[in-house]
Amino acid sequence: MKKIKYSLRSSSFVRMLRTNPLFAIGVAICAAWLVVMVFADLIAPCDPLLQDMAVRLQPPSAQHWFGTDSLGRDIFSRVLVGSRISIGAGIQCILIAAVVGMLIGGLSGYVGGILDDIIMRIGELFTSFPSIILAMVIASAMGASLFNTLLTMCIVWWPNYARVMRAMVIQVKSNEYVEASRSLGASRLRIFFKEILPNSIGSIIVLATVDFGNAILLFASLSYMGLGSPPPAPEWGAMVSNGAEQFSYWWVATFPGLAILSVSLGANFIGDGVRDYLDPKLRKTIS
Amino acid sequence: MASKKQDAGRGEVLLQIEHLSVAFHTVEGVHNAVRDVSYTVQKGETLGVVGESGSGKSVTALSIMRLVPNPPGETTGGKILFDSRDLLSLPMEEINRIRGNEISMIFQEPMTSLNPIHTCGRQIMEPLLLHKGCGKQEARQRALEMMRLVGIPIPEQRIKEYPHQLSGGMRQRVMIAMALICQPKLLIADEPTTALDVTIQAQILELMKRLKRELNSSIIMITHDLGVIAEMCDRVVVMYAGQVVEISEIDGLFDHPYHPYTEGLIQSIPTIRPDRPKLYSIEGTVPNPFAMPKGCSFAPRCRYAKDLCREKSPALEDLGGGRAVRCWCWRDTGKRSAGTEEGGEAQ
Amino acid sequence: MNILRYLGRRLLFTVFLLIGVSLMVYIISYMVPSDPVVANLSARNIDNEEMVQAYREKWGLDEPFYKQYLTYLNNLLHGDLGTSLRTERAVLDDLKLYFPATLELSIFGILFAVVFGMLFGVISAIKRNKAVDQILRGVSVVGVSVPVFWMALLLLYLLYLKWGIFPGPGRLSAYLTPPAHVTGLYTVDAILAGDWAVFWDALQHLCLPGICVGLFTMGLISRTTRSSLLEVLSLDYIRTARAKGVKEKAVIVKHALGNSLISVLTVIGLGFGNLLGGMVLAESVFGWPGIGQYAYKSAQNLDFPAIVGVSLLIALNYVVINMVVDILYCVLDPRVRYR
Repeated sequence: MKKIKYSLRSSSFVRMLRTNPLFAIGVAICAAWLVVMVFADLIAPCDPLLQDMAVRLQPPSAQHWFGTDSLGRDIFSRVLVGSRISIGAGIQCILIAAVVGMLIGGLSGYVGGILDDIIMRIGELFTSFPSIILAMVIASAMGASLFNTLLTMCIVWWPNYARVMRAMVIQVKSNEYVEASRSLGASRLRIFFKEILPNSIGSIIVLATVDFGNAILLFASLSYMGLGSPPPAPEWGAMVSNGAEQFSYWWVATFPGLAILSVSLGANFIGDGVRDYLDPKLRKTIS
Repeated sequence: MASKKQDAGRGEVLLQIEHLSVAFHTVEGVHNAVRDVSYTVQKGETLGVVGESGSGKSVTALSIMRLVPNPPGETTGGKILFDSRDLLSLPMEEINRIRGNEISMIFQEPMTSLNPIHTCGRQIMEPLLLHKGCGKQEARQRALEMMRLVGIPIPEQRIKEYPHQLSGGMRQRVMIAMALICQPKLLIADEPTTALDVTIQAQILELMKRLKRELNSSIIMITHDLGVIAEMCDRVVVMYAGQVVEISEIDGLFDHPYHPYTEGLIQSIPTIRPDRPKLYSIEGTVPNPFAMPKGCSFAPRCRYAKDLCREKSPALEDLGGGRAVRCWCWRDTGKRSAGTEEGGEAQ
Repeated sequence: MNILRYLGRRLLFTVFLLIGVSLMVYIISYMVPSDPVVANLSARNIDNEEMVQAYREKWGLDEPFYKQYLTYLNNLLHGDLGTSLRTERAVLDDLKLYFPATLELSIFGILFAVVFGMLFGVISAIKRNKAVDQILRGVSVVGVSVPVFWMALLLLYLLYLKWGIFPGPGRLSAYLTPPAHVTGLYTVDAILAGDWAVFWDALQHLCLPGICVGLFTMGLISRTTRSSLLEVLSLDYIRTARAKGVKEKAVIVKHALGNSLISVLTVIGLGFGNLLGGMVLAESVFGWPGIGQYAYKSAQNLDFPAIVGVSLLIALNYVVINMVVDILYCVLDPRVRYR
């Protein structure tokens, strides 16, 4: 998330913090979760994997702030440590999809012609399909594991970035200064890295920010459907799913769900802020 | 050059702007777009308001219509009297009854000033339906008449069409038809021809002149083009940096401009005279609205500026005979101007 | 606009989409390391060489890839989607069985999303930066942020289990018999049969899952309505309308709303895709016997004929939605109509 600082100048970042309270809240939430991710082991009061059948399904108390689940594990600790997988998956997915999408989209826009057509149609194919169902099919075909789920999310996600990158490349390509540098004999690769990449990175970062909340949600949904890491590992979606089985013990599902909501809310606040700030120049390329 | 016309009721005041001030609150600070502006519009006359962009001429006009967007704009003082009512303090319902009915406005951008999803006919008829309470059928009839009057060919066809199907000139004609359909007492035309081709410009100006004669409305013609002023207007208000700097009958202005800025504007009219091949332009730029110079706003660009000009802001001085100027040294302007012009020719 | 040309292009895209989607799923099914045989035969039968062989032959699993696919395409042209490995019924029959429930839910969800999304968006835009605006914007951000499955559990826990305001999972209360099958949509069928008790019950059952499914799209629509309405309100022709003496309410309703709807439409099309995705989750929480659950179970069992069938159905839906959106574009925007 800290990437925003680089694309917008730090002075405008500070101004957004001051003038846009929701943006500030979003930054605060995400920063807090980042801290939790890093220091989860130190903060968590219990071992997230420690089972204690004697205290199973206890409601929230002074000892277990969020209560305990059906195996007597401390939900508070599991939520904290679970942030590593659940938020980490979102970040990784976005990063990989952005890089892959940028490469494919850049290539597509730069080369043009039939290749461009084919790549864009394939991208359309992926985006026209509900991502959960596609991810479900791929993930269950390859077997449920964290790696496969991540891979699936990237497969579903890259076309967004490819589209933005392609549009930017085509736009930048027609700009005069690229023409000029090409006539000066700059190589294609050089143009790509010197001219096109710096020009498009801004909108890619905005898209990534706006998308981050959705990535968290998709991962949580897949893990809710049992397509994340295998059971003992703490993972928010899977924890809610576990809570759904213990339906009348409300705390089991509530707290991990709130954790998902808070992260995706924070990400959306930041995304909205960035979008409002950059309006109207970038909105067209994104939506 | 237009001569004084013998219009009926000339000399009676229709609109009187008194000490109007408008400020815009922006991120960078407060921008005083209009500073203590006063001028009058008489019945049946065409008043030209001229100035560079940012001189406050459009904002003044929008204030008459109460169309200054608020926020960020805010009227900080003054009155606008129209038929002895102060437009600035009337409730919105009253204003809505005046807009498009007694005062109407034509905007600069015919391309974007018409609603893309309504037919031209619907847009022309709308003021009639709103203000005159006539039926659809009658409104349609009057709209067709009006379209014929403004020179739109085959109005029966055009009335069903959408703005994007028309050319810029046609769209501006639609705008004019829309503005005049209720026969307003005052028409405000904000750069009505700037966005159009030169040949279309001449047609539109000709049209407005004819319509004014036929409907006997007053017109405020806002423009940065003195050529348009010379063609159309009876009197001229020159604005600079949010202030009125000179008011004059059209006849005196071109021969003897009193304000150095007016003089500069006149000299920068392109001519095809072979003895003056170089296009004159006033040096420097409009002052930064957030850092107005002390003293006269025009002083930094003025070739007559003295120490006094840089120290103290001049007041608008009434010279009698309908003439006023905001300058410490207006007496010098004419003389030295002649001198420099000769000097220029000698080179 | 040339209607024939438009239809031709759409048709071409539809064919491309259907072939693309089916091919995609087929490629996945061919490349997967896991074996549908393992997924479908019990552990005891896996060791039985004969059973495994019989199973493979029965479903043509030993044929080369392209042959399997061509056979499938050929059958598809004859309206045969193959047989589900899991339910052992024709996939087409399964789809017919489960689709109406999903259709009913998605229509309800999209209606909820459009009505409330636009209402909230318009109010937000008019009361810009006032308290109402902040609250409604908050609601729509929560709408796009909340995990569907969690929202579903929460609503079910509070509104059904705790307070008993809404009925529990399923399409109809157990003591009622479903109305005679005409469209498969319980609410519509109940009206056709004149059975108001069933109609009311079915409608109540629709509420919670419908809200869950539509929440995301509602947030999206409300946000877009607000921003595009604000944008339109700052345009020149709105100033023209005001200069004509049009009252502020009429300026919004007659001049601004129609124009801002054009960009909202795009979002509605986008939102529908998400809505179908959310369906899988909502259906599993609410025990809704629809395509979403069918897809989930098929995916878990690697029932590829069923998965391809569901995929085609969804792709077809996508095409239909896009056509509806295109038609609405034409209705709303004369610039599109006369191009």
